[in-house]
Amino acid sequence: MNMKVIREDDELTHIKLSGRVDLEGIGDLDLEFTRHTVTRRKPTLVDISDVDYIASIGLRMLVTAAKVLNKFGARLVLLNPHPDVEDVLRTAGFDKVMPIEHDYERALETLKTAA
Amino acid sequence: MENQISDDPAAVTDNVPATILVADDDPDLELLVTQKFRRQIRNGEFHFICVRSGEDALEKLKKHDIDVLVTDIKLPGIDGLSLLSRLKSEYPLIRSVIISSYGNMRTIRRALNLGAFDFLTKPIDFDDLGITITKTIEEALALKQAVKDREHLAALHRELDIARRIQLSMIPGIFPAFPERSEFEIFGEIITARNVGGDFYDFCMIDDDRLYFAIGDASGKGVPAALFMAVTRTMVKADAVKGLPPDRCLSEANKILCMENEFSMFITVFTGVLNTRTGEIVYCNGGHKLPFIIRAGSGPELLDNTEGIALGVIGGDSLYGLGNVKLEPGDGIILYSDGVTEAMDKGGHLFADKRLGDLLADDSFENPRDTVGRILRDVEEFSRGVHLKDDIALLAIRYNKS
Repeated sequence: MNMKVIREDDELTHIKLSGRVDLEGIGDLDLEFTRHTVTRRKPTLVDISDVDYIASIGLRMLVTAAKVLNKFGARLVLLNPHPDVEDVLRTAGFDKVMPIEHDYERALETLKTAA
Repeated sequence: MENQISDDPAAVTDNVPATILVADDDPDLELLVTQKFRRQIRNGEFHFICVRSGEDALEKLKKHDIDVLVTDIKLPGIDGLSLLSRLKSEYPLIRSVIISSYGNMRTIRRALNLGAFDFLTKPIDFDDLGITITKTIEEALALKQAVKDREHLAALHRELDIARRIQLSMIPGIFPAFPERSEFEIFGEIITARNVGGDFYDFCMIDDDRLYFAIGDASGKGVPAALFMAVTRTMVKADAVKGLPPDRCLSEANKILCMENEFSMFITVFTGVLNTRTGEIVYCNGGHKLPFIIRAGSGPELLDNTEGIALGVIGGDSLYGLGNVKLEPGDGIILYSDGVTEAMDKGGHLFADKRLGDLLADDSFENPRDTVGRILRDVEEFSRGVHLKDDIALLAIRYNKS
């Protein structure tokens, strides 16, 4: 897994994840991800278009961040998942906690809505 | 001070002094060591026991928990070499230093061959004495710790093995499960990637013609996942046997799991009730992989999803909904965990839903046991040479004529 911070300001955290989000892939990035999302408490956009596989530990990382952000009134929106990954997310019902969008502008709109 | 050897491998013995047995008929050695190590003796780090003969040495070896033996080759009665042979056979954890007169290389060789850790030559060099004995003590203590660690590990393995057996005993594993019933057949299998796992399946009769069944997959692996799974499985079942509908079973369990869930664990659960008279299934999906329905004469199809989310993520009412499906005689349902479809081959490719669907399309589904076996064999073949990463659970039910 790779993690890239695209934007980090008062309005938004925009992060791009890529590769395999599983136990081996996450490694120490779990903490990094939490640091950039949870501790900042800003609306968070996570671009997962280049994530080709997500295991339960990856889902847990995302859901944990989304839940904490929701508590502070900020949303976490997932951008552009691969159909297989989207299927995993929707089957597990996680789109209820972190909305899934396929368009950057729409994702920004969703981020503005109350969590 | 007498040392206590504890049976508990986890017991901490850090504060017990290292015990050194010194055997020499010449009283000078006793003076030398007690002088050289006076600080360690005062601090309670080293404890010296000094004897003048081989017989006395054997006596002390029996009585005390000795770490290091320092012995002269020449001793009245039983000599140093004989002591070394005794150590080798009876006290293999004790490290020894032998003392020989300068230049007696043959005797020193023999002693080393008998397992002596190091040697000193007479006349004894004060500094060399210190270095040699300290080094030997370190070696002896490291060895003792290694043995202790190994025992500790073995104890943990035994506990894990017990945990595994307890866990497996929670999952119905005797088939045919209902030999007296001809309306349906059921078969399940669990394969854990580690000693204990987070996958489960479960089933039991609620009353004469209602079969409760469930499959689940807790996030993560090993003991944490197994604990979370065991709690969930029991809560869901407890409500199910009371006759609560599947959506209520999941909703109630979810509420409790969300109350205290510091580690943000979650578990996907699919649960349903089959009416064995009519073939009707009412079900609820808590974020689990959707089961396949196998229609006699046509291909497998995925069941429609219900409202639902993996348990333990968010609390609240009306998160779970009900679904209905009717099985005709000869139809069946296959429930599975993502350990099946996310099994990987050497190239990192996933087994995937499609391969499972294709396999089921070619399967006559005459009995659940054969179908489950076929799936497992295919997964095994697919992921040959790759260590199983995730637990696998499979549960298959075939509905016969009532």
